[in-house]
Amino acid sequence: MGARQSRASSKDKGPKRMLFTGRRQKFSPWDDALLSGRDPRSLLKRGMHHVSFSLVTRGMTDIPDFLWGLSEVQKLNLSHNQLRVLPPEVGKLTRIVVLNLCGNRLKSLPREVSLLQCLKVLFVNMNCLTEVPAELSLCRKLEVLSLSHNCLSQLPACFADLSRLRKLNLSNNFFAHIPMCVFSLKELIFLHVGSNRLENIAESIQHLASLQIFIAEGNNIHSFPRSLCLVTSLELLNLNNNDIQTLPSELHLLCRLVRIAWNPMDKGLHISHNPLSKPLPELVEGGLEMLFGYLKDKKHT
Amino acid sequence: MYLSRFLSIHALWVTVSSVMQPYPLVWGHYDLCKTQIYTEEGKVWDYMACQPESTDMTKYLKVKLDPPDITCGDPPETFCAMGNPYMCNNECDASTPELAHPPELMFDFEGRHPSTFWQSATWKEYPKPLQVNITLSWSKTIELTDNIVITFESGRPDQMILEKSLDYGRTWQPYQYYATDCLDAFHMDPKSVKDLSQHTVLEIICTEEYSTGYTTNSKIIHFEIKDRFAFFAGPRLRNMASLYGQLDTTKKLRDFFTVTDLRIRLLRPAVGEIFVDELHLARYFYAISDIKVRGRCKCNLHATVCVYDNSKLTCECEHNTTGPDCGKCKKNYQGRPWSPGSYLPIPKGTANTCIPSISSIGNCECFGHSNRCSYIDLLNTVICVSCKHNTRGQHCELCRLGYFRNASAQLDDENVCIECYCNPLGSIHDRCNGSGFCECKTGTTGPKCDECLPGNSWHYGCQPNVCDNELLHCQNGGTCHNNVRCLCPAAYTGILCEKLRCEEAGSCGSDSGQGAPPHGSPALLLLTTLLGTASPLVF
Repeated sequence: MGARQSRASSKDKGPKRMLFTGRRQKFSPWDDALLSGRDPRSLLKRGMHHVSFSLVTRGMTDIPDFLWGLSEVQKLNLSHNQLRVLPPEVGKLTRIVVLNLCGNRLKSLPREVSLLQCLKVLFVNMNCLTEVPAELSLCRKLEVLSLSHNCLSQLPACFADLSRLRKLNLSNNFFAHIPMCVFSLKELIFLHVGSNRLENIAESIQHLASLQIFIAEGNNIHSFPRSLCLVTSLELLNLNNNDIQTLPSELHLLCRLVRIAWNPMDKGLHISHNPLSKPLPELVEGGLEMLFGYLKDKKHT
Repeated sequence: MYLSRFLSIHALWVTVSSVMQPYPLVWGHYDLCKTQIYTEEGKVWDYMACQPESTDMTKYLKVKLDPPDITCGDPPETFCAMGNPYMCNNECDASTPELAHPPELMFDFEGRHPSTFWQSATWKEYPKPLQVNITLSWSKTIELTDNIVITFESGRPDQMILEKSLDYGRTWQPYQYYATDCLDAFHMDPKSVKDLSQHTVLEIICTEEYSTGYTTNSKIIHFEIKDRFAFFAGPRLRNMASLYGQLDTTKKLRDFFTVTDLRIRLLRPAVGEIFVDELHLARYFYAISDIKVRGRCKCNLHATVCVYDNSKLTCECEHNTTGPDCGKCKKNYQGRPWSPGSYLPIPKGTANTCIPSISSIGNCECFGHSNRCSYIDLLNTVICVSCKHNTRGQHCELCRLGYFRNASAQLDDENVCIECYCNPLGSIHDRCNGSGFCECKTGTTGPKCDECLPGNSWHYGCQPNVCDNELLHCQNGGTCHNNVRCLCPAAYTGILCEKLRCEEAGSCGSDSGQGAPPHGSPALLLLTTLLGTASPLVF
């Protein structure tokens, strides 16, 4: 029934050309290199900005040993495998700038990450981390760190030493508080703590004077702290799906929030799905200017 | 003798009735083209309408992207995956298999995690539009049987059109428009398939249902085939007889669900906000992980098998038919004109089998346009009689007057002769030449004689211009109306407003502004009286 190969086709001696077939079984580039005795360094790709090496979506449970001999590598992508352990030998790759380990099964990181003195970008999201080693704070050049979708509930206090960190993603973890060390990261422009177990935002949030994007949606935050209104650099503030009942009268100080946003990607104030009683929800729907005006008037009374 | 015949007929009826009894078991599936039944004369074939089983049609298509180099990865680039728009850790590199996102990944088996997907380049050239056409070609007519489902990994586009072709990509018609704002994007009111009915099922709509809600759980766009079937077959498609009946009798409805190609036109990527964030253009791209198209080969109810051989789909025709769609009668089986099978009557339908050509009269080739021939003794030749499909000639190989040959059709195609459609007002008669050109009246031109030569205007046919804006100007401020007449100011008259109105009346003079003299009326009466008096005197 339906379409099928005709019997006549079996008489053809030429090979069949199928439109779309699964990937053919063949050795991967590094298998080829090893089997033929070639130098693994020939597998490095020299792009415009970095010397890079990728072993993505290979189903690997271990990292091949030859990798630690590729000391030139600057951009290493091992994402979406099934790695359970990152060996201490990773510390030999002292020129790494970008390390992508997302989508694996790591439960911890080795202390030897401290040897990665050139590291700027580290993705360890979508793993099984329950803690992060304090030694990571010795990577002083770190600018971007994603630890989202793990099992973390705290960070080491010495993370405050990551003075160049600009983007931090802690979403989809088990944090009950924003760790205190985060408030010492003066250069932070992006902070994502959505989908955790937060019940409040500490007054210290005001110390993040450069913060532009703050996402705390999907928690159980009960109040909107006044101190958050002092972070006047904010362009996107997402507090959707929390337990906020009132908005502070100082909200108008956040003059870069140009609108009440309904789309998660939109810049502005995201405040939907909260049990607002002051001001009334209808007022919020009237737009940000109306809301600011109401709050100012309320303050004067 | 009559009693004997009656008994014979009765026996036949009983036999046929008992044989027919099992048919409800295959009701609605049309999966048998013929079966043997037993009659008084022995075993004979009973022919039924039949069609291939519905199947996944993405195994048999060719995909083409336009622009051809729009796939990401050459040169390699970084992009921001949906759900993580501010921290970009995803790479696209065409030369690394694990980082490549070629178009075939839209059709591979889904179940891997993460999904594999085709991906376009990012919108790094903003504000130049990022537009991609994805064309799916089957090189065969197919009938859709289930919803078309497209799964995006990039956010569903802000603007998109799904199009179909019935002539192998030569011309395209929209199937459905998709937009975040239908009025703004396509000047259409937003609708969904739920707003349609039996009577409006063929309406082309724009829907906003699939383009709003930029969340990680909203990846899928549907083109609803089953919902449209449900207008005839009921909400759970339990009354397929009604649907088949409609498909049988309404060509437009049948053609609506028939395609040779589909085209997905991606016009504007998911932006998810009012304005494009020009500092983060790596967030904007298209990515599709899966396209589902379910249908069957169209075989005109003359086959249950469609073969995929040498990258080509072909029906395995029965009922003495042939061609990729079983769209014509086999040679020597042109005893009556070809026609498609019919779904009616339920449950077997009607095969409309091609029957053997008449062989008792030598060479009688009518190319399927007639099943009757006559022998002309005087000429010692056989000719076709009662040619159908607007054909004529000894072998029905010519076209009737008023029709011309369709150069792209075979002689045995039922559409071999096309009506001339000569414009009756512009043509001398309704006949045209072999290329479809009509014979035009004076001042008329164009293949259908529906255009005017310069100096003429269409007015129940082409008429010479009374006036125009080139050589025949209306004078004295008159305006030319439809090239037919001049509209003159009050003081002027004439074809081209060339005369003073007072000249026409003969009353131009020093007192032309005044009314008639007061004694004019009595004078007229006097004149009438005198004429009346003169008559009897003359008499």
